[in-house]
Amino acid sequence: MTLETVETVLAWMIGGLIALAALLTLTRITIGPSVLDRVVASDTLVSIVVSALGAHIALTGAASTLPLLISLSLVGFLGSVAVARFVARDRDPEPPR
Amino acid sequence: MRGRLLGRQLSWGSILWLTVVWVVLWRSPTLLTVVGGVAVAVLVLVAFPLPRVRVKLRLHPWGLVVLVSRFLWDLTVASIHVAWLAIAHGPTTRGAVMDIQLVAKEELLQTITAELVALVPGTVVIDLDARQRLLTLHALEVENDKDAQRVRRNVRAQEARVVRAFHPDPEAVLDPRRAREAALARPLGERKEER
Amino acid sequence: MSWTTVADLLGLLSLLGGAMLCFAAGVGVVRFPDLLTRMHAGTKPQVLGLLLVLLGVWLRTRSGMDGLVLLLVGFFQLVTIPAGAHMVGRAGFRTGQVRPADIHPGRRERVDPSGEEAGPPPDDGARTPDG
Repeated sequence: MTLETVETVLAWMIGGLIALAALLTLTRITIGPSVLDRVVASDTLVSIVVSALGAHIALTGAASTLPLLISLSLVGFLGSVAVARFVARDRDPEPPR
Repeated sequence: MRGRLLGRQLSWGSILWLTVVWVVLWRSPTLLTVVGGVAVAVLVLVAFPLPRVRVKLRLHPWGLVVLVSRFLWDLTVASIHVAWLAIAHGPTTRGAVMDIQLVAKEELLQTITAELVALVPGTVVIDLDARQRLLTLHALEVENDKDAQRVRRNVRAQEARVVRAFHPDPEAVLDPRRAREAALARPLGERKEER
Repeated sequence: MSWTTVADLLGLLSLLGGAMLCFAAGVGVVRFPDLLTRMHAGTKPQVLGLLLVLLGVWLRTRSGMDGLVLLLVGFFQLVTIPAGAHMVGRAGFRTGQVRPADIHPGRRERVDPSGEEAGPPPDDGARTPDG
């Protein structure tokens, strides 16, 4: 196995894991059940996106994505703070069984 | 050290920090970015003044080394542990909400402690009452008193490391005998004032 | 193997570690039973995962200025993640999303099982009820 194949395999694993993680968090955003659950999940999604951008930079050497990384890492939490500030006792109604 | 501009107090440390951030964001330490950075920093500090924090901290280099290295170690171990809890087969874990009494009365030290506790997996900080020095947090895998004791011990140890890294006189806070004596030595009125 | 290949490979491995922690966070967010446990899963492995990813990026780009930028990104994340998590956790606790059974008996009496604060309100206004 050459070095290049190792790199390719690792790159695909990294991409696949991050994509799966994003899908799973999307599931939680969809099913809730409360607004805060969705906020937590979207927070996680922001972190995952930051990781994905980082992986993109590392794998392609596209350093022009770095400013994106900075802005996301700085303001990513503002959304959840805003929602948490005004959240009330609300949950999705229990699904009928 | 502080300078003044338009009646505002500007701290040199803040200007330096903002300039460094600015230069790093441009990714090129040229004369233009440095001068521009200083200008932007002054503008930001004049336009958006922050309340002054009265800081009475002293940096203990060795304490800081211990704090940071132990923090990174805890972070690694606990992250892997929580990740394993998430993936492992079987019923997932539950946690409990609990209060922890902190020993340091400086809000900044309490904040640093809470921040570090929040970053290490296994504990989520819910609230911090600075006046009562009460940290409320949610901890994973707490089902009985013994688990709760373990979490409390960990948080107190974390706080002790923070105090040893930043407090001007760590042992006055950490040594239970000296802390008690200090509390008794203060007259009642003063004790009320203290915060 | 030259040291650049070693650094490249180490960078990839550290990226892989970060990706695995990302994945674990995703699984935890879906599998854990209630809000606060989900917060453990969602926000925490991410801290180390992110640091690993940033380390991986630096190991592969190996540029001093980029390294400083990455250091800055890591610092910002370490400062902001607890702030967001704290706000969400407190809101969840105050809106009663914690099962009464999950409140440890060691807590003070001022908190009743619904998660609302009982007892005399503090006089200093430090704990504003709107949270």
